[in-house]
Amino acid sequence: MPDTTNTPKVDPDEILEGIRTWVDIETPSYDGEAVNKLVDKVEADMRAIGADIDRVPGQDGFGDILTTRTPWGGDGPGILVLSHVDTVHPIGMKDGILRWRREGDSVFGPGIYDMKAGAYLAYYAYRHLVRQGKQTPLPITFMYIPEEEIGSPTSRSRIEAAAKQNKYVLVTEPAREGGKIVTARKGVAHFQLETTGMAAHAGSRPEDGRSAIHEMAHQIVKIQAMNDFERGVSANVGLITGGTGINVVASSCRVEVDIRVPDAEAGEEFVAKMMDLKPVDPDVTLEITGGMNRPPFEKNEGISKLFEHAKEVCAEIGFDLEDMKTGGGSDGNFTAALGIPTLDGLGADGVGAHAHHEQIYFSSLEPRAKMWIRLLETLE
Amino acid sequence: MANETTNNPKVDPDEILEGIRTWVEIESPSNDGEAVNRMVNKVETDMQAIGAELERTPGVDGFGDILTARTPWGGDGPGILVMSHLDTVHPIGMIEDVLSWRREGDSVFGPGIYDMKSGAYMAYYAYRHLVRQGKQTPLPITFMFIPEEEVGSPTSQAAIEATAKKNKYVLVTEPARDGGKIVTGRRGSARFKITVNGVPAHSGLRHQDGRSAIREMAAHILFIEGLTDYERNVTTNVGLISGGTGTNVVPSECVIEVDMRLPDMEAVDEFVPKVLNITNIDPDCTVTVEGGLNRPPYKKDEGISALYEHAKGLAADIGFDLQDMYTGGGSDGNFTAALGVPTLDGLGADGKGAHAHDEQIYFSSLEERTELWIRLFETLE
Repeated sequence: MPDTTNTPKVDPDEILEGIRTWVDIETPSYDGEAVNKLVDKVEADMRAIGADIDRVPGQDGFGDILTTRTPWGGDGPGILVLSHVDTVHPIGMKDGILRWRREGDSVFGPGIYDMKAGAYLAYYAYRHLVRQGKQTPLPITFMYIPEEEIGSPTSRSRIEAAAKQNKYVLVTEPAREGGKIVTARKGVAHFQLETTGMAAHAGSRPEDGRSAIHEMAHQIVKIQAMNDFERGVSANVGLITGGTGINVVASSCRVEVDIRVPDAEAGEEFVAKMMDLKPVDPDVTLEITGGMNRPPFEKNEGISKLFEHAKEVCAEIGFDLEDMKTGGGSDGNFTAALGIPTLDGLGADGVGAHAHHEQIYFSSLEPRAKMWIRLLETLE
Repeated sequence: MANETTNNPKVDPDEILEGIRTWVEIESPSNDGEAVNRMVNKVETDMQAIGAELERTPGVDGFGDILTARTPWGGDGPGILVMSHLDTVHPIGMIEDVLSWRREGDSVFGPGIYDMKSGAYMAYYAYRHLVRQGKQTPLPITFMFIPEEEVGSPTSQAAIEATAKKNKYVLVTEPARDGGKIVTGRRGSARFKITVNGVPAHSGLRHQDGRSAIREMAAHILFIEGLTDYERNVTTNVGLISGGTGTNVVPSECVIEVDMRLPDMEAVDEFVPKVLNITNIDPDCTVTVEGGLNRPPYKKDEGISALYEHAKGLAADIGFDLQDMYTGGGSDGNFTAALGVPTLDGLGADGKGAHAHDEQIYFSSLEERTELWIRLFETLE
């Protein structure tokens, strides 16, 4: 509800109340209808403060993509604020293990940390400026992604198109490890491997069979050997399934692989290594699909400068802003890879993303809201 | 079906096939105890109608009941034990699908017709034939119907062994194969379930904290598959695998199921411990191995040779050449032969396609094999 008193304050209790209204609407990534209920709420909140609205219907069962823009600033490059409205938690978590509650400085709720608090903080900052009757030097576009937690498959191209039209990207993923923001992320590649052999009765005619499971074991050894901790390359065979019966030579086996790389060079090298894998058994076929899912987000000059600016802004507010590199991916990977200066992890501080103890720290709300206001006011 | 008591009952293959059909039509997948029991009900009724003494043991663990039918003559002493299984590998519905009952020339198709409802029915028909003739046999005959042979007879093994020890001969109604050969030897089988537990972690953020159960398992799979030695007739098969919870999570659990075939007890004593003793390579992973010998090797000893020669002689009298063979697959005959009770196996109908979508019997094998059953019953002492 717009409050147009003379001196609007940055009020953390008010922020938390607002966050609660967004957290209360549960939004698992695969449930497009559920996600759209939150998109409806965000759209209504944005309309109430005069933003221009653009909503693209979802595809493949996912939610819609909502974009809102300040009515000022013109059509030129500005600030792109990137958030996702989906969470990893199934519906019902808020009635059980992740019910809304506050325990000291910790506030719990499904998706509160990853990342509804962060998404709301950026909205609150915009609303605060509207209440003050202020405008910002640059136009601001807020983009709300419906399926980031499962890789943004239907949103990626729109994210990239929007990033290219802007000067800066600010991502509302959560802060972490003592309130650090994120200025670099590993690239993420996903692959699916399927071996096809020949079934046979394991007792009477095993020599006729060609085991797809045996072959896959060879491939797993090769993939695991790609791990290079020093270099920052990790390879994980996360899922495996194969065979039809204990006494049948398995005719098929399937694995899913997650590979993380520190930079674009390593990305090219390891994607090629994976796609080049060959079967050891000449009578078994190996099919490999997949590739780079999120490109590496490297801290280049543009990002360094943007970080230094944010650090100064926070020093003025009264806290020390630190940055870090993380192995997890976000939509910031897409924008940074295009060369658009991107800062990530600008959301609330807390812990327990994707877990049953997911929480934010209430004390981080006010300073981070102020940081957002100052960033929106000062970026040119 | 009315009991026919004419003066000269004939061994009529069309009548045999009609009877087989009534047994095949009751689909009986091993893991569906209720379905198997519908089959047991039918066999019980058919046996009751010809005066057999019945005993039915309720099934356990969701499997069907064990049915035993005994000739009222012959006394309590050791006699002939006829071993059959009533379960099949086919899920319910196959009879309306790829395995619909049909005859194409000499081939007759149906789920479980070859493995092994025809064989089971033929032995029953032979008994009924003797009853129709008003005859008795020198030895009492016990017919035992097993409800879960296709999954290893886990709940029946003890009863099979106990009953075999009380008898002189065991005749198993598994199908004949490879040109009508019966079976006088089989490899033993061992089964294992191996579980590896590691440490989960987010594969992006904390990969180094994780210990992949799938990675550990891959090394064990290569070891187990590497035990296969065709020269020695030892083969291993990792038939099933599953593990992990998500692409981006270091997997904390992986499970495999392993089938191992062994020609004799020396091989059993050498190879089974190799699997049971598998331990973790990664100090932060744990490996749990369950299982062991499932069916002991069935070796053609003197008693079996003598029984085979006797059957061969009877077949020659009937007019066909009975040959025997050794096979890699197991049956309940493994249990009885290992106890030293002379066992002949593969005495069912000839055909092919066991467990497959082209499962069939050869109609032409019904009459001569049923005659063989009759003569075996009449002559064994």
